Amino acid sequence: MTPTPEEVQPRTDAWLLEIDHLRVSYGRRRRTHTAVDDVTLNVGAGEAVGLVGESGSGKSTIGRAVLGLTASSSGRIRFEDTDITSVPAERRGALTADLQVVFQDPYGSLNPARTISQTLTEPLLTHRAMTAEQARARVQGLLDQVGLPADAANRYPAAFSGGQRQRIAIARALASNPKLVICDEPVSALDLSTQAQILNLLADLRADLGLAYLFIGHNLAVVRNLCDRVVVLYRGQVMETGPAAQVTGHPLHPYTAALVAAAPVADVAAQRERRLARVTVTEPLTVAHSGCPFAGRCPHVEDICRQQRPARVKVGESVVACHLFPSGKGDSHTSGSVDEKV
Amino acid sequence: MSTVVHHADSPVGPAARAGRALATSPLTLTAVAWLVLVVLTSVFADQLAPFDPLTQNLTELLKPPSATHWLGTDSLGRDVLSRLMHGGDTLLWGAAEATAIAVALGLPAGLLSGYRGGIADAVISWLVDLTFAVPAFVVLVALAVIYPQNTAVMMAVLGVLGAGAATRLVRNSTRTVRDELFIDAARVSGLPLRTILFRHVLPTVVAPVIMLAATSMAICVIVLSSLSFLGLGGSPEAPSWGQMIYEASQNITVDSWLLVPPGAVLILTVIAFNLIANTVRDALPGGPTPRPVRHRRTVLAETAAQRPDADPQTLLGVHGLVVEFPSGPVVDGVTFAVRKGEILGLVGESGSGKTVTALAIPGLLPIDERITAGSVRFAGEELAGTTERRLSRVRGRGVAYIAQEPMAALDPCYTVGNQLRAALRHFGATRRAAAARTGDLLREVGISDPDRVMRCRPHQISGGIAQRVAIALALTGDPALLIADEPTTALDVTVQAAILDLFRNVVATGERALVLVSHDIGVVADVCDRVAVMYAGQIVEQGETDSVLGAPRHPYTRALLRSMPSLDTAGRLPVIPGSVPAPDAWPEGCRFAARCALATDACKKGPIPLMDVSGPSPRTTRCVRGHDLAPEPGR
Repeated sequence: MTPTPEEVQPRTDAWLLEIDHLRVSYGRRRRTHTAVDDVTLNVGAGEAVGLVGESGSGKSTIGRAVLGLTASSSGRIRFEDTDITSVPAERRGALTADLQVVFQDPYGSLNPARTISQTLTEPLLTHRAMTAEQARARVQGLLDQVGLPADAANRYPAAFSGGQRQRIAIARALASNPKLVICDEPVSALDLSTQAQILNLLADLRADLGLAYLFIGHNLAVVRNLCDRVVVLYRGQVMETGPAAQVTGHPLHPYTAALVAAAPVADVAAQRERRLARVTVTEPLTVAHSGCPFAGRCPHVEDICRQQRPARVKVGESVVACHLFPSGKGDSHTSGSVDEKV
Repeated sequence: MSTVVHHADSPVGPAARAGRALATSPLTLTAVAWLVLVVLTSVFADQLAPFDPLTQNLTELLKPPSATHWLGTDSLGRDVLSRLMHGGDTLLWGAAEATAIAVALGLPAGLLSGYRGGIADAVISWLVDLTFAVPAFVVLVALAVIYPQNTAVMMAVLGVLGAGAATRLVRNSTRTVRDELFIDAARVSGLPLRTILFRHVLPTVVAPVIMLAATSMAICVIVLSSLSFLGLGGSPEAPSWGQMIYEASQNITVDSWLLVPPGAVLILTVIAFNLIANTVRDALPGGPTPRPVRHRRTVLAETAAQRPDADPQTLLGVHGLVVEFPSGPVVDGVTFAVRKGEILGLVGESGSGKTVTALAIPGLLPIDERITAGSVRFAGEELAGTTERRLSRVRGRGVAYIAQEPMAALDPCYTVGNQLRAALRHFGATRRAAAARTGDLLREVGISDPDRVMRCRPHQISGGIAQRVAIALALTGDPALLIADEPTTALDVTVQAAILDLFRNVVATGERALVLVSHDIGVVADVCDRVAVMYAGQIVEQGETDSVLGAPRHPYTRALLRSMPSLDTAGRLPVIPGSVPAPDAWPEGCRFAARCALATDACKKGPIPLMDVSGPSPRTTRCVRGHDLAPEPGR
């Protein structure tokens, strides 16, 4: 067996969210597309975990599966030891208060025909026995918390810019005092100066309220800025997991290394060095269905990469799935030592 | 350009929009007034009608309109006006009954089928198809035989058959809303299905349902009139418009006037319902937008003599460019030049005017935006204010444009090879030459398997390949200048790196130049020789990329660089407070002053000109304190 996270990661009882061998497939029979392929990851209480990958990596699908917006095909999702794998959002009852979301698109995520106050009080009045008066006070508190003026409550979303709408979306997520907020690319649609404001707001709220984040993003620098740990996804599979500084500073997996090398920096001289050092990997027209999903683009590819899916191996504080880091000589099934350093 | 802040403090839901449209169009208000009049006269016909509609007066047959009989009398001497007033009653009630039944059945069925999908959707869709398959008029005629003169039964059946159309309409509207993120957010909030359907889905389907109801009323009125024309409607004694038309047609050779009153009333009523339906439809998303007035291009292009003598290597010279929307200027005096073999970056946030500037160069501005001042000289030719004919000659051959969304540049109906060959043929290549050049072009943009890509349609290739094909398409006319607007924003970062390498190669021959519009300073640092930083419609700093990014001389550039998260550090980022001012809120002085940590009173006094910065290469900044930034090295 491939080592399970319980063996690889220090098992603590403090996990807030446990995703275990999750698989999400669309379509039927031969036309099946597997968006999430055997993903295992955990988020501790108060921890910020970044989920990084390019389009089609399945990162948003994982978020939606956790939220109960997409059905899982197999595997298990547990939130505070409650199995929520096959419980859609509508049937989660009180649990929805603990598990909230901020979406990427600040334009589509607010109902244009409802005032900010109506949007924010909706979850308050539904779940908590709050009077209208209490809810109004709570809305004012929330607006203040996300840095919006009090008179924002009676306006419609159209009156706000993208950054302000994202603040409103964050306020809505905070309304029920959640423990975990899934942030699905919350700053990708924002301008640079607005992005910094929202990232700081998310960091402050986490510090003040002890929130945990599952932060989904494609920009490594953004994820590095906010997260403690990073999970790198490629075509639905986890390539590398580790502390944020480790993953962005000393990437182990060739895919992570390619991601890091491709992210441009705003320093011309440094960027020139990075450009000369990077190995250009062109995108293949077809994708192999066995072995390592990155094999078609990997500069270090060997025969075994196309035949066998690499095992997860613990290297230092990171866990990596790559044949460059063999857990035993070539045969992951008999390998026992997951602590072997390469 | 994505952040458009509307100051209107009003809801923008479809129902609200439809309501507003109904209340503001004079034609629609007239239609509503007419319907109110028809309904009131029908309801109060007993009190209002001057005569009994059934009383015959054989001394007054077929009289033309007179003071006593305003609309004349019919072949039995009955008063036409009174019959008209009484005749609308059955018609309107019948139509309302059928419409109410159609909506009452269609609304819940459509909501359920659209929101739930799956088996519910399959079953309901099958039933809907069934209603479409039933020939309604034949059924009605058969019913008229079984239940003679029973309008209520006939209209109930018509309503059930009409529910199919209502269901389909509501289902389709619901499906569109169901995928909106705000519905997902509501589900995550744990709102019960009932609340989601009533609060978030129903308001968006109300307007289409109103439209459908109005159309259905019009159709039912016609159907009922037709039935009574055929003698199958209500009681032959009770007057109805259709029956009046039938009677008039019997006397058409004797007195054609009789046809006019019931015909006119019937037509006006049907038109009124349709007008209301159209107004509601136009107010829905996807309805026609008001066509803007095409402005005459009034351009104050400077003559060449007024400008400093141009460098022969200069390919594009933009000077004092002003672009105005109907609401006012959005690009305000932009000046820059691009030399052959050079890549210039136009960098800025939303609302900085960078995209509008890029579109203005090849004359691709939307119809209500125009260049009101300044000059755009390309290879010695003035493009600002020139005719569409001359512009279209320059586009493709001289200047090519590459859009952010590569798929949008490709026609989904044709293969990649087809589109490239068509473009090459347009630029004068023979059929054989075009075929040969297509493969070369694809290889030039770094596609390793051109034969295969050529046979693909756009949906069969990835975003990165599509952007390469879009670049190949832009190169078909062998243009001297490429303008690329955020060409890598929609792409993955590893693909972006490869596309940037490709741009570098395309310009490397030294004969081409590229203007790259981007919000990503990293992209600019990677590929651009020079950079112009834009803020609120102006260039605030311009110079060689390494000096501008390495030691910014404008506080905005510096603040922007500092607010970028980096791969090496974590923690709070230094932010720029506030947001970019909207064009109507641009201050007279420095436009960044309100957000600037270095601002002094001098910054707010008046417009700040671009000032030269001494150094090894030409460099300008629009900051009175630019020199204060000098000693401090950038990041």
